Amino acid sequence: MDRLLEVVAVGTSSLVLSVLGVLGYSHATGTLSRTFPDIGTASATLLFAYLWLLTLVAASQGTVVGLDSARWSGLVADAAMVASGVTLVFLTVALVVGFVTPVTAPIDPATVSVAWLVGGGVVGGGLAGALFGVYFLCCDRLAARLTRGE
Amino acid sequence: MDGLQYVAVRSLHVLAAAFLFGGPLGMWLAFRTAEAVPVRLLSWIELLFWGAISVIVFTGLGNLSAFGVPTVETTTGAILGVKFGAIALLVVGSVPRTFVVIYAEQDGTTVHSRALEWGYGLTAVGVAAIVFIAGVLVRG
Repeated sequence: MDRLLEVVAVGTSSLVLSVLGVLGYSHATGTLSRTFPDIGTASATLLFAYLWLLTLVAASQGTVVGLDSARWSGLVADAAMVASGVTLVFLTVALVVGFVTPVTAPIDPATVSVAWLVGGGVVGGGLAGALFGVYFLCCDRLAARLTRGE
Repeated sequence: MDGLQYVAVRSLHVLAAAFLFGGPLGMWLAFRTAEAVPVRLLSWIELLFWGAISVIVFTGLGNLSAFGVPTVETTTGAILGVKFGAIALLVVGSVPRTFVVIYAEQDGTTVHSRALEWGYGLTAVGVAAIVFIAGVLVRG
């Protein structure tokens, strides 16, 4: 059960913090109120569920709880790579769905703008993944100290 | 959004919020009153907690889609931004608590932890604050 709980906690918290980060940024820049109503409840739910599945699969590929200190830097690098991959896969599917559904496309479906979005997303995803790796390591050290005094 | 979809999304949102408040409050009371709490119960509460967090965010997206997103210059828009930040803080603070439960799973079948008592108490307070912000957001 402890492995399942770790996967669910790491995957879900990464997902929710990423979604809130994107929502907060687009809300602050004013794009959320313009683009969000076009997406629709069904599409938003499907995209969210798909991203949740991706993050759970990604979280199941490694472990952070009780990780040996010699493997900490490897974990951060792995987290960055996995997050880049998840972002690439998610953006590809989201853009394809966005372009084929009968709603106003949130971005211009031209090669350059799509390339900028995907490239920026992959780099941003990698940076966020590294931050998540460091954050989960800090959570693990805190939990170890609170339970075992390590 | 048709009627059935509206009722389903709103009901799931409220049920998830009820669990996010009631689950941690119940565990806080358990730690306050019992000698030790079964770790298996804590594991289930944590699994359901993360499921409920996910449900509340995606049904929240459904609500935003249905009712419209206020612009950030308005008071309602500013409150929405505060709500996003409060939920993020709740999630950031909940991961260490879950990791403590994972360590407790590895160490035994029951646990009496001051850290978990505080963790669940603070979680319940945090969720209550978010419910208050949500109430202000809906009713103004």
